[in-house]
Amino acid sequence: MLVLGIETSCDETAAAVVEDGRIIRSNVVASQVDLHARFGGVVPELASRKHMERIFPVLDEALEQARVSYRELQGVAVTIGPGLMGALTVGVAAAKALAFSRGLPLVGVNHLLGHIYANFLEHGEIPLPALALVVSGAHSDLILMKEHASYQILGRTRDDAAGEAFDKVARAMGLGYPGGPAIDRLARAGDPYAIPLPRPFAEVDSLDFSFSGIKTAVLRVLHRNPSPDPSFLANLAASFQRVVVETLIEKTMRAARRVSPKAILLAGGVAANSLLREQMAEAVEKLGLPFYRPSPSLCTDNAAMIAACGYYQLRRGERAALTLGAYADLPIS
Amino acid sequence: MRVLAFETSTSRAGIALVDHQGIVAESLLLAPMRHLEWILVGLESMLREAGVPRDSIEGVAVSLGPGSFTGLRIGIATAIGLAKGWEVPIVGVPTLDVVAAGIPRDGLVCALLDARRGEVAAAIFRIWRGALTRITGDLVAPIREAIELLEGYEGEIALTGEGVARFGKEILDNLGNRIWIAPPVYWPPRAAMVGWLGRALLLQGVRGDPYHLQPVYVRRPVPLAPS
Ligand SMILES: [Zn+2]
Repeated sequence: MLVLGIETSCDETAAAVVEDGRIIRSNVVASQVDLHARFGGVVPELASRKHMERIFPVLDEALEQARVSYRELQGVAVTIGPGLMGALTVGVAAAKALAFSRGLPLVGVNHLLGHIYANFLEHGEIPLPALALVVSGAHSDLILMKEHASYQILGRTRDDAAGEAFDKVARAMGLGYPGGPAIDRLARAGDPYAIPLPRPFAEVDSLDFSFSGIKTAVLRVLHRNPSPDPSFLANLAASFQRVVVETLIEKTMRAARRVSPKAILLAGGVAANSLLREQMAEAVEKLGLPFYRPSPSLCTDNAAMIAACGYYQLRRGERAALTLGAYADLPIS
Repeated sequence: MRVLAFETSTSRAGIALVDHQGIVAESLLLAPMRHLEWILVGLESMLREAGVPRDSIEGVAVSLGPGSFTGLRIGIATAIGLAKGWEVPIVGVPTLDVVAAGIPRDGLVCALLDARRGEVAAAIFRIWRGALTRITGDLVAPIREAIELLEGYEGEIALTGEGVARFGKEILDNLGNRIWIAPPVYWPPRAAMVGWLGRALLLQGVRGDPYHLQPVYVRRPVPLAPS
């Protein structure tokens, strides 16, 4: 089954053609990162305009690279939320019109589940139930995936998402936007134990996260050191990253002990972080469970993961109504 | 030529089907700001009730604004998606032309929209024997500048468009009996007129480029880029 995936929930205009949920025939991502970088974050109206300018060129490019015509598609999958309302709207309107005009089945995909399905896209069937940690600029969620259509949120962030903390800290350190890759790079030159920082939200029982405390702590350290030298900044980046990664792993392990999954998955933009990838792999190995994570290029927002998730929805007979909309907040059902 | 048209620049979206005889079918969204959820539902039921098969549609016309950014993006993305899927030509029509074309008499016409933040979007047209000619570009400015623009023209001017509700009185105070205010029923842009004007363009061979059909934005997305 050839599925066209469309993703416009934030600052990437993306389209992809995926065969049978596994074979990436094309995966086109037009990033707006440079455009938003000078504002230190995504400007919603600017993002909507760029999506509108790029959506049809990106769609045609995805079909061309896949050597597929609109006539040969067998389904359309589009991100309907969560995300920026105006941004989502552009992708949903285009997807609905294409599907309607060609009489193709259409499904709306939850962006978070899309991130999880980047793992199925690359690794095929994964033993279920699986425990997934989805970490990005907007999310830090621990999700138990019982079956392909059955999910339970075990924990989520009570304030900032992990990626958001990376962005804000990077900005305060003068590293620019997006912050994740910049901190990852700088941290390699630093001592992760040089600067003491509080362990965020280490409450024994809860599986929820909180990253605003550590962000504030880092800002306080920077305030006390108004002209930091490069090695101090590297130490700070390394210490901050270590504490965030340790917290993510600790909560994931706690959840694993509680729900006894058959596999552990990592997903979302922050899943591209090298320290998190390595240390989570080690921790999961100690549990004796299989560990899955997407390639870094499939961790960040893309439409191949949306097509893969949509493929499973289409296969079990799901069809979006003509009234399909876009939803800034979209719970996992 | 049978043309399907979308007008989504205001909170009340509309769709229409026109051919050489005029309006074949027209449908209006009653719940404001539900464009995305309604547009294809409205289209499907309009085609079904009018007994018009989808494959008899030979072209698509869409209102380009100025107007609600989100509404316009939904209308334009939908129009392009359908035109691509059906493999028919598409054309964009400026919304102020659509508003002005609704005036049923010859002479000068000023179409006026409320561009928010105390500004108007306006353009001046001349209608002669029912044919519409645009004689200015879109002006987006404080109402004072629109009044100055109007003062530069002689004779009676018909004033129309949804901006009249807010700015009509100020214009009347300045230009007095030179202004004829169209009744409110003429103010909103109508999908049928988008289709009628768009159909004329398509018959002349005008083709919109799906990569470059964009809403008419009256202002930049952010006031200033920080350094
Ligand atoms: Zn994402």
